[in-house]
Amino acid sequence: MAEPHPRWAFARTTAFRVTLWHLLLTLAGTALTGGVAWWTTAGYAARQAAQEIERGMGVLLQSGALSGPRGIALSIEARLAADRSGTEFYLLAAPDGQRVAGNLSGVPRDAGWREATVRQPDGSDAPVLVLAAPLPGGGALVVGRDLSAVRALEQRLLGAALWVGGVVLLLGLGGGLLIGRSVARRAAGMERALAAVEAGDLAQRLAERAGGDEFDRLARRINATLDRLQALMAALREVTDDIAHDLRTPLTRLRQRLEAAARAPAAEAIAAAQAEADALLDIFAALLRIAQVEAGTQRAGFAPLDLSAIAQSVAEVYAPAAEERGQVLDVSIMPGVAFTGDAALLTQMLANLVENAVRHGRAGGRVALSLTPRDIVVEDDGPGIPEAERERVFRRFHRLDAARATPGSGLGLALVRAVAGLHGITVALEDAGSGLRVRLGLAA
Amino acid sequence: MMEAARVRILLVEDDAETAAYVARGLEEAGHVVDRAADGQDGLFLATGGGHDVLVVDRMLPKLDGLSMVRAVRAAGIATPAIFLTARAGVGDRVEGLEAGGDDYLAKPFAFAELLARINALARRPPLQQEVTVLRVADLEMDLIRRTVTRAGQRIELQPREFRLLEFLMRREGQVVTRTMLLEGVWDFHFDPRTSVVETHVSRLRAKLDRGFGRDLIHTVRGAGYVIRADG
Repeated sequence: MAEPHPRWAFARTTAFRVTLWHLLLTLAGTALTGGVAWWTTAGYAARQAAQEIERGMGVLLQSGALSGPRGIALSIEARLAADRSGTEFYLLAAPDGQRVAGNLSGVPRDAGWREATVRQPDGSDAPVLVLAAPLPGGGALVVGRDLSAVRALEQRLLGAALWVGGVVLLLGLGGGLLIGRSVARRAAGMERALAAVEAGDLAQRLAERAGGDEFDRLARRINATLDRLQALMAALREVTDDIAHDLRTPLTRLRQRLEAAARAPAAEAIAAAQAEADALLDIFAALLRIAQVEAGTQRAGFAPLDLSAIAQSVAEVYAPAAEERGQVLDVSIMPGVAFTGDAALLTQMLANLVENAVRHGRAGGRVALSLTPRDIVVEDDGPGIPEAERERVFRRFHRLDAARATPGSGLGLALVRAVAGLHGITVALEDAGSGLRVRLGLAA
Repeated sequence: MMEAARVRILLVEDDAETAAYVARGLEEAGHVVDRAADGQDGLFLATGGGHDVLVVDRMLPKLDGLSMVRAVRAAGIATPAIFLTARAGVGDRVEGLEAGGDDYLAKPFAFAELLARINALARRPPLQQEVTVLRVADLEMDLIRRTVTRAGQRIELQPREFRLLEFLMRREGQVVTRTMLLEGVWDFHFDPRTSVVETHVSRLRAKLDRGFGRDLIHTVRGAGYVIRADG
């Protein structure tokens, strides 16, 4: 499709088309108003003149019936004498066409209405409406009225109508152009920004003005969508980077074990390779789950649930594990804390935190889990996490140097943060004496 | 492994290699396997009846697994069904159960896990009679008074230990995997890194078997646990 010259792009905008329609309707309204004004002023004056002519004709014919042409002639003389304004015209013609009385010359050929021009005494021509009627005994009677005043009124009305129509047309067109251009300009701005996004610049945003018109609301909505898109893309990139970096090590180990098993097949080597493959599959499952949770598509499965029951269950599951490490699991759960969310994910989130606390807490020490409607706190007395490391531990595969020697994928806290984020729960890492305190804020 | 009862299984799976692998394993375990490679054939075979368990992949050509099981249920056939899926999403499990599935297993799975779940489904007791007392050898569980005795001696169990034992006793003689325990007893639908199941089972075992000479809860290497009377 050929793009029109940008200067004329406004002509295709919705605003301009709407303005054009509006203009047409306004003009039609103006024309209607003008028509009515015409009918009630100039039209009225013309009808008035015709009525006077008919009345005069009737009276003259009546006097003719009573006293013949002589009577008509007398009546005409009397009327002309009384007409100071000089707007009345009469003619009584004999059967041979000779003027008997009146101030007109020349009898019209046909009976009935017509417009004529009469030379005035001052030399100017005046438009006159005349009615001609034949007389019973031959000859004709013509009655007329000067239409100069009516014509002048009509002229003025027409002039006014043209002025008004012209102004309306100009204002409407000008307004339409202005509105159309402003709309076209803003739409073009949006289009440019979105084209940049389409071309790969995800940081591009639409201009938002403080006002709240529909364009600003649309821009805000589109920007929010772009924010989400950018976050998703960033998450995707992070996942691919993580996978590339951190799966290489276990895959290499798997390959080495398979190589060893190929050289000297032994059940032990095969079992080791199998365990390595299982661990890899676990990592994939965890990565997929984190990605799925971060994508935020699971809110549809949210349901009201008893958070206390979930916390209680997690505490019971890990109590023996803590006991085996000689730890005291200090549980303080306020009963009946209601929450809306995904029970399976919340269970896993709490389990990951308690599991971490039990594993990293001091053997023979104390692990605490507490739940109130305000927050969930999981605390241990292990080595804790240095302040500088606290943001990084939430990243996939991130493991503290001290933990590298112990088994684990470094995905536990990443999942915790993803699940918390999905549920609008805040996660804070704090110092707990020597150990770590994780505080999940429930109240948004 | 002592899985004596022969189970007739309909396996609906479009990946030929997986299907062959699963079928071979099930046949080695003494079961009979019918195979279908798409949902339409699967539906046709399933409505023919005569199967004890349906094993249905979720992603199938022609008719997907969910729709197939829904159609089977609509035809009034209650054969227990287990879904296999490559998608381990959280909502997927619920979706599968709502479609009329009885169990749900994410790929990749250990074969022992599938076998244990198939056996559990095939031998699920009919629902009509509610048992009130479970017995394995001299171990007795009263489900109403919620007490456990062995050889007449009262054994004190915590509520969660009681549930764990009940889960095992209801499946006497059947292998129960770690995952089945995690799901059935604790409602954990993920695999914790810490060996929590092992710890719980060994504590329960200590309470049940210590001082009675004969162990009732046995570990099945590479698969899970089983409770049974004979050593």
